[in-house]
Parts: sequence; C-alpha cells; structure tokens
Amino acid sequence: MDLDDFELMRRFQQGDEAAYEALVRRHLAFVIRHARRFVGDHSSAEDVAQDVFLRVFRSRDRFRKAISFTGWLATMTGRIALNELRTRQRKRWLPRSALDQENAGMEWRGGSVGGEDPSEGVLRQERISKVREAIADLPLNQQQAILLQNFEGWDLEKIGRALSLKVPAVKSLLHRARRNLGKRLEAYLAED
Amino acid sequence: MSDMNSKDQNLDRLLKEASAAEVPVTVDATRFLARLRSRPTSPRWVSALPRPLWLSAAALVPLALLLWAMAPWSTSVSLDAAILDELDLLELLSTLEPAEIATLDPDLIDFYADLEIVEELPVDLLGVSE
Repeated sequence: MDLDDFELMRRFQQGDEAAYEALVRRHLAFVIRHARRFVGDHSSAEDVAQDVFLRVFRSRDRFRKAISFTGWLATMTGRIALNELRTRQRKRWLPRSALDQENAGMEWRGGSVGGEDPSEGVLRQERISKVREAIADLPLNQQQAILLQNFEGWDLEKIGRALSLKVPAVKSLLHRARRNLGKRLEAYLAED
Repeated sequence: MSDMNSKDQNLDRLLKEASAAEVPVTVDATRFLARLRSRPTSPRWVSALPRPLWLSAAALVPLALLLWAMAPWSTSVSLDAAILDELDLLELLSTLEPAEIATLDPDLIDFYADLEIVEELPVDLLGVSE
C-alpha cells in the first residue's frame, strides 16, 4: 500500500485492518530499533514493539492528523520501554540474551573493525558502552531527543513534532542533553 | 571557546561512533503480526470481567456521572492526560521535604514522567547546577 501514514491511519480508523498491518510493516524496524536502545536486547525490544502497536490499535480513534505518526510511535516506544526497565529493576530480572557479561544488554558490533588494532577495538567498545550508559541516565525527553537526532538522523522539526515541542525548545532540550552527556563523558571528550 | 568547540566535536564523534556500532534490526514482520493478532485488543481487566457484571457496571456509569454532576462539590473537571500528569507530580512531590523541593534543579526535569528519575536521586544531587 503506497499511502502515507495519515491516510493509512484514516482508513484504519474506518475499520480497514489491512491499513493497520501496512503501518506495522512500515514502522516495525524503527520501533524495535528505538526500543532496543532503551531495553538493550532484541527480544525485549520486540515485546515493547508488540505493546506499542497494540496501543496504536486500541488508541486509533485518538490519533489526529496534527500528530506526527512516527513521533507518536517514538514517544510511546520510549515510555513503554522505560516502564519495562523499571519493571525489571523491581523484579531484578535480566533477559536471557543479556546474561553474557561482556555484552550484557547490548546489541552492538563488538570486536575490531576493518584491520584496527585489537586493543583499539576493546577501547572502542568501552567508549560505546559508556556513551550508551550516559544516554540511558538522561531524563526520558533528553534521551529521546539525543537518540532521534544522532541515531535516527531526525531534524529539529521532526523531533519537535514527536515531542510536541517547537524548534527552539528542541534546541534547548538538546543543549541540556549534550551538557549532561558531556559531564558523564568528560574523560572521553578530552581525548584527541 | 575553542576548547568548548573541541569538546562539542568530540561528543559528536562519540555519538556517531555509537550510532555506527548499532546492529541493524532484522525482524520477520509476518511472524510479528501473527503474534500481535493473537493478543487481546482490549485491556485484560476488561475482558476478564464476566459479561453480566460488565453490563451491570456499564449501566451504572451514567447514573454515577449524573449523581457526581449534581453533587454540591462537583466541578467540571476533565480528567485528561495533563491533569493525570499533574496528580502524579503532586503525589511525587508530597514524598519530598519542602527544602528538597526548593532545591530541585529544573534541568533534571523535562516533563512529569521524568520525576520518577528524580525520586531515585540522592537528595544531595537534587540541587546540582553549573
């Protein structure tokens, strides 16, 4: 179905479940990818994605054209993923895929890249791990802004539509997020 | 200023490195949809209620609303998401001492959902600022 998200949602609101499936297929990879950044592993990210699209199904009548559909997905994904993390924290639970101590909770490329020194590969992995931890420590809105800008390549307007903010507010949010990241990653920022 | 620019550029570099290291997502959309279709589309607590009980409760709702609207203390209140967020905020703030609330760093709070993170911070960090 070569229709935009608004048209698909409009059709879905009128009972066309094929339109809903088309939306799921179109945005599934994004939702899982975004969820994985919060929860750390693919399996949990798929569970989050299930909840996100179930919520889309249940809330279809509340969707209005004024909302950005991908923004709506991004916001729901962040909130549901964060709730999942809090549930795990309360239950002290780790998914099976995260029991590997070296890559606990990470779905990142490890090891050396393209002929680099193995020790550099270890340092790179450590940097990536620290960056990921620092992002995870940000308040949710700052996490969302940083991830959507730097990991999804969204521009300020698109981030603003997702977070219901005007562009100046997005800039301010990103500034605070980067400042907070800078504090956590000071040791790595001083490196040349 | 040049030191700040250099740190800014280094931060960009770190973020780019982390982003490039993400493993691409591979997912079987058909399997995902099959699993999604097997899940109940209404909240579990709704489908768990016996039908006669559900119908009785549904019949009482208009009566309850009418009585509430007629009550002398009632005001027109729309319990939308914003109001519920504010109630969550008030509930959270009620657990803090006034002196703690006064030192809250606004930079730590982006919107109400983030206050749960503040709740987990040690008190002496709540007032951290530049």
